[in-house]
Amino acid sequence: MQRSRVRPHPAALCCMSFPLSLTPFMSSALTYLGPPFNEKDFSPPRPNSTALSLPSAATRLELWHGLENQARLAQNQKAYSVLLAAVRELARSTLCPALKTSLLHFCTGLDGLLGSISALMTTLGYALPPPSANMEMRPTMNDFAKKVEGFWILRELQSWLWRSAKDFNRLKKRLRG
Amino acid sequence: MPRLSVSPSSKPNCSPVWLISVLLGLLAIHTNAKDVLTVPQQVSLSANMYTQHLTISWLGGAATTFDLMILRTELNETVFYETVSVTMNQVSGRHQWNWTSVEPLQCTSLSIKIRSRDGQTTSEWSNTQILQGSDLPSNEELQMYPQDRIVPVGANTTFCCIVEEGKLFGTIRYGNTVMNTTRLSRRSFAATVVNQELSGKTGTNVVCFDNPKTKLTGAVVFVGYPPLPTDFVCETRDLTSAVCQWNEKRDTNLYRKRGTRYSLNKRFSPEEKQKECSVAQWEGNFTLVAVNPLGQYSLTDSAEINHRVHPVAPVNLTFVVHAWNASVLWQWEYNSYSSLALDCQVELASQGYKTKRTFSGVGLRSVVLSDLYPDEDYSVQVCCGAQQNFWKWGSWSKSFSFKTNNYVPDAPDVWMWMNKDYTGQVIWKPLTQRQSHGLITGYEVTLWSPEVNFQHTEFFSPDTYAVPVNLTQIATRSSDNKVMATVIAKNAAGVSQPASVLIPLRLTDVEPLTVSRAVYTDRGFPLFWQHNANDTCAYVVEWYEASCKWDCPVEWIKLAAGNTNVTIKSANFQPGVRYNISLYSNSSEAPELLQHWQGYMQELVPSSSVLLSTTQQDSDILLTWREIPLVNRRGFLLGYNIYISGGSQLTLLGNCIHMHACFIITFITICCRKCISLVHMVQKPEWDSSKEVLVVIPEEDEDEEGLGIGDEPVDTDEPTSLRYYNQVVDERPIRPRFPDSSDSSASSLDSACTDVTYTGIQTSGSSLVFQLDPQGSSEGGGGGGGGGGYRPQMQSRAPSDDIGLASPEPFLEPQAASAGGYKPQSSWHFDSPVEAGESGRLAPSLGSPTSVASTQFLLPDEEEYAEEKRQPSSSAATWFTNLLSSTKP
Repeated sequence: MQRSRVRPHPAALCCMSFPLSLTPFMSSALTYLGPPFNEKDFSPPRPNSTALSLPSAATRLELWHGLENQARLAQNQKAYSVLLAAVRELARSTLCPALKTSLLHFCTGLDGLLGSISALMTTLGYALPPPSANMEMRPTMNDFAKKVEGFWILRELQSWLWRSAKDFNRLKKRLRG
Repeated sequence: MPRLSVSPSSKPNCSPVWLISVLLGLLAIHTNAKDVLTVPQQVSLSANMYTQHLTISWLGGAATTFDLMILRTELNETVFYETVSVTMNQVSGRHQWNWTSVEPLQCTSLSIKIRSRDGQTTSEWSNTQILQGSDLPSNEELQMYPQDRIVPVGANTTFCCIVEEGKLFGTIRYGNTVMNTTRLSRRSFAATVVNQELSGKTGTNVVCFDNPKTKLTGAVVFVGYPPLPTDFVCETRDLTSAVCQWNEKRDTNLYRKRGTRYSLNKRFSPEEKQKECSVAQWEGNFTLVAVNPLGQYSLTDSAEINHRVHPVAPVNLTFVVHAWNASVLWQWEYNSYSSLALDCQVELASQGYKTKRTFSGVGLRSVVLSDLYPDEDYSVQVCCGAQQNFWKWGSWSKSFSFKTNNYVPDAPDVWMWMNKDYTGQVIWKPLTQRQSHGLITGYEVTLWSPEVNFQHTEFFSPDTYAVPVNLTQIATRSSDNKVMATVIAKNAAGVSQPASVLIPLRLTDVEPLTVSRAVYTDRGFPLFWQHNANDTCAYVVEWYEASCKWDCPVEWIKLAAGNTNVTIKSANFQPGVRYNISLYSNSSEAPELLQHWQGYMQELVPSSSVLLSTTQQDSDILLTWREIPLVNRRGFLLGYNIYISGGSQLTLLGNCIHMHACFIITFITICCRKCISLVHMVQKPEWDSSKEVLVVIPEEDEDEEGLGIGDEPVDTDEPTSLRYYNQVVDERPIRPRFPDSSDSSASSLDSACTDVTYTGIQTSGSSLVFQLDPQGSSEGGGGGGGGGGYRPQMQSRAPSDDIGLASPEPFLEPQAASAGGYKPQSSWHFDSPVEAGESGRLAPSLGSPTSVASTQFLLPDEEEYAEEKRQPSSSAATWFTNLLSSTKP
């Protein structure tokens, strides 16, 4: 990540710790979808639905590292705003009370993370990306497609959390350096 | 499905002429029909993909019978081929036939053709109509059908997978199960799931994989039940509207958009989960319809409104409180209740107990709760039901609490204890919460004697329950025998009635009555006494520890006149403690002692031994011991055993039933080397010396008669042991040297056996050897002790028999005791370590769990022996030395 000429506010840097983890309820969420979604090697094709209209976390590493801070932060911001809406929808539609509670709790954490990224971008003088598309404009999907979408929301979320954790550590080091 | 067929006549006996005529007629008709059979025209198809219904319609002319053929277009496989009877729709002029496909209609294209039939004659086939499936080459995607299907438990469903153009089919999985498949077309494959079980909440996934697994698609099927509501009932809370409720007998397993929708009298219930719906006006007849994607179910309920009154909870409870009663007032949410006849339950809770009281009235909104206790916390809840056409109790009100007012205390229960010097105590029992009627602020105690014009009053704090009195001066001035003590309790509401007890000044002069023995049972000490028909007095039974002599902590119970028995109980009763129990008259006169008992809650082994000493008087030995202190007896003493210790064993010389202070043992020494002694045991000389309570050893009789000397070696290390026993006496053989390794066993007896060389008594005859098994002794009642052996008393006994126990300390001989029904002791206790230590110092335990032993050397006593050891030239020392040399190897 390139060194920025603008020093971020210390408070924004403090927020770059990364406590979010899907691990506690990932297993129960996949079990809730039923087999084969909870099987280790199961990988349905990624749908191009509105809920998944987010930057892919699977961008090749060298390409990702080649991006500027602003671009990467913007992609983080975009990804988490889409994923937050998607996880909220997952929570709303779930019939399992415990899972619903876990998902809503996670949404609170995601919301905090989005706020931290926005604060950091503002501090660095970057423009915030425009809001994500409205989830209510989704086309009708069959139940299996919805499950696949839910599966991919969780998977993308997990990938973004891993990527962001590394990103923010690197960013923190460079900005402090 | 109806089918046409030609069947033979049911009348085979018809004439041949008639039969031929019929056949000719039929032939003519057939010929004419073939001429008019038309080929079905304008065949059209209409498909319902969800229900998998295919509607086929056509113009069929006058024909009513048609052959229908349905083929899978690609593979030309026949799916359906039957002859059907179809009537023409008079309005449209078309024929129509409905067919339901097992497979989803999207699975593959279907070809449909029709021909008319008239008997065996058929028309040409119509043009083939094709219902296009989703497996057309133009639709290249991987697909699965049906989607989002909802089926009942036990259904069979066929799924099909259309593989992507140019890919190979892999597998179809239903949940975790790989299904068998059949090919429907070049790209379409089907699998049928039979007898489907309940799916999960999110349905069961049916997934199709290609081969190799590069892509997948799937569908979700929800398996559940149609609705089955039960317990549908309507009632009113406000006497106007209806509230209807119901339950579901089973979970449909279908939720959200697939869940059950309810309607009540054609008005839909807003909530799926809520099994309750309201109607603004009571309509009398109610119909509930439950609908879900798998079906619907209806229930009805009919009733008049006044048969279905379920009252609401009373609100705004208030109280008007007094000491012994309280009024409860409440309000009703609806004015209509003011004319409703009600039965109301009031649940009253106090001190952990709940009671219900029922009240009735029209529009009831207050009740009076009587029979309450002063100064007590109560909580109250109220619920009501309609008095007429009772339907059910209404809702309980919230719980409200109140506390009753204070009231003057009850009179205390007063008694007294007098020492032998005109001092004593006036005692009363603490008032319970239900006797105090409020916080006790103190007591007022008055002593007065009208005769000497004496009155003295003092006030005491509320925690005072005994007041010392000294009546010495009054006793000297008064010729009367009694002084009145009066106690009054006080609280914020006032003072109690005075409680009095007459203190007899001459109580100590009363001769003690005979003492009966009270036997403890599980319930306490049961006591019985004779009732004198002329007596109108009440009674007081008091008890205290017999060892207490001064200002004793006495307990008592007061009984009404006419009682002849009582069982006294106390949490203070202790095992091994003797209690004095007294029955007094309780009248306007001073209490008079009527009867006296003594008893133990549980008898224990005495906690100390006697202090034994000997005095030689020529050839006589005087054994002396003192009475065991009462507190150490811990049971009724039955007597004493006297043993002579002979090294490894003890020999019973005899026993003494009565408690005497001393014995005289007379030795008649026949010779010095092998001593033969006569033991003659008598009671204390100043008593009747003619009573010999012990029997001499048989050899002694021989010796006394000079018939010879026994051949067996003489054991010369034999100090005499005195052993006393009580009701729990153990008659088993005793071995003094090693009953166990405890401190108490390291006794002076051991050392005596080592050091003392005196021999005076030959031991033979009834020598008793201590058994190694310490358990066996108490079990074998017929053991070494003979018929009168160890059979200790049971803890629980029959109630005391006053006649049999009339004499003071009525001890029994061990033999008599055994015959009299001693039973195994329920428990016995080792002495406390302190007591054991003391016993060891005084005299060692002989190892019995039920007795304590004392030992003393017969001759000489320890000091004399020590002195003689220091002066070996003395004759006695020489005599001991000789004896030792002759008996030790």
